[in-house]
Amino acid sequence: MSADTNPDKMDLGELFRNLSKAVEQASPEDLLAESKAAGQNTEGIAAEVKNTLLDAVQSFEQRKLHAARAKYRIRSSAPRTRSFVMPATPAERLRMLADAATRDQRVAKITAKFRNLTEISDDDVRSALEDLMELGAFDDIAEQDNDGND
Amino acid sequence: MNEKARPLGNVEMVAGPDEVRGAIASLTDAESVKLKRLAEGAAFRLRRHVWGKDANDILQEAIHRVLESKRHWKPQKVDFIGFLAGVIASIEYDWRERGKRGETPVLETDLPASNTDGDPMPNALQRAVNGCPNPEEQLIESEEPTQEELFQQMEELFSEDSLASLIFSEWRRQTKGPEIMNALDLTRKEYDTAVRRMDRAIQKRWPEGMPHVR
Repeated sequence: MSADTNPDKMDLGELFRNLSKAVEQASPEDLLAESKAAGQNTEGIAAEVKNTLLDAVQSFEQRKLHAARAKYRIRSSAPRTRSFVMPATPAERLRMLADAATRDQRVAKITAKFRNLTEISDDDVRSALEDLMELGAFDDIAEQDNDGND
Repeated sequence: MNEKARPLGNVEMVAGPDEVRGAIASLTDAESVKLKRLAEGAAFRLRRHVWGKDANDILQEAIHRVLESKRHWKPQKVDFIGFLAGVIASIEYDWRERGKRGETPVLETDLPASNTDGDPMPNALQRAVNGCPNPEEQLIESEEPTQEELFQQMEELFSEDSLASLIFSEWRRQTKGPEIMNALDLTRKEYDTAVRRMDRAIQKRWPEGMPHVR
């Protein structure tokens, strides 16, 4: 029988548990005092720990940013499949833009520059809708429609 | 299908990067030292199973787990240091289990391509396929101490520290902490202080990690 599985004797796992428990249960102040007594540069240790943790936050954010950029690059380089059909009449196109503005902050920012949506020419409405389609502003609606059709 | 909105009353707010940054900034020196000590201990114990991970790797992984919401920190309920202590313990467990399954993250480029005589060494994949230790590994295994020999080395290590020596011999007899404190008339603080002294001595004696035993 290997020593690690002998139930009658302490094994290394139990030794480790005994040792680690004393650190887990210790107050931070006791550990600080012990480190100082051992001649350690506790301010240096604290600064290193904080830097390591803050670096980890930064690297996490950068990783997320890189992932978002990569996703955007893939999305923008792939030929877009038109997931939404341009409405047939000027009135329907205007209504589509107005509906989108109430639903999506990105669209609202674009339409906010017009005092009144009825002042926009149909060409501008059509152009805005095409840009928004390219940006995927209507993809969610198309997906919902597709889900509903399943 | 879209996820149904949950009622606000059931939503538990978890911390984002700014909140975590704030918590890190407000760590006291004592709390930082404790975190370091916890991470060092975990890294030391892991060296038997996982190669190349140090205390800083564990601290970084802990923060990533918090931010990836693999571990939900609810600042309104759990203090940061206590929460991170739990995450560090969880990382130690995960990595140890992965190490046991042979999922140790060892890069091939970090391993020597030949032995000291210049003979080509099989890579990790080839060794995994072979399944049996090569002659060099057999030699290393034969040089590993038995657990009894390792514990004797520890007794020698504590020979100058009578309290540590007593506690260690009681542990070997399977005596639990409270019984030892009772028998030796020790407070919890005196017992824990002696145990942490033993912990430090062991980590100093075996800086590369506790050796494997036969």
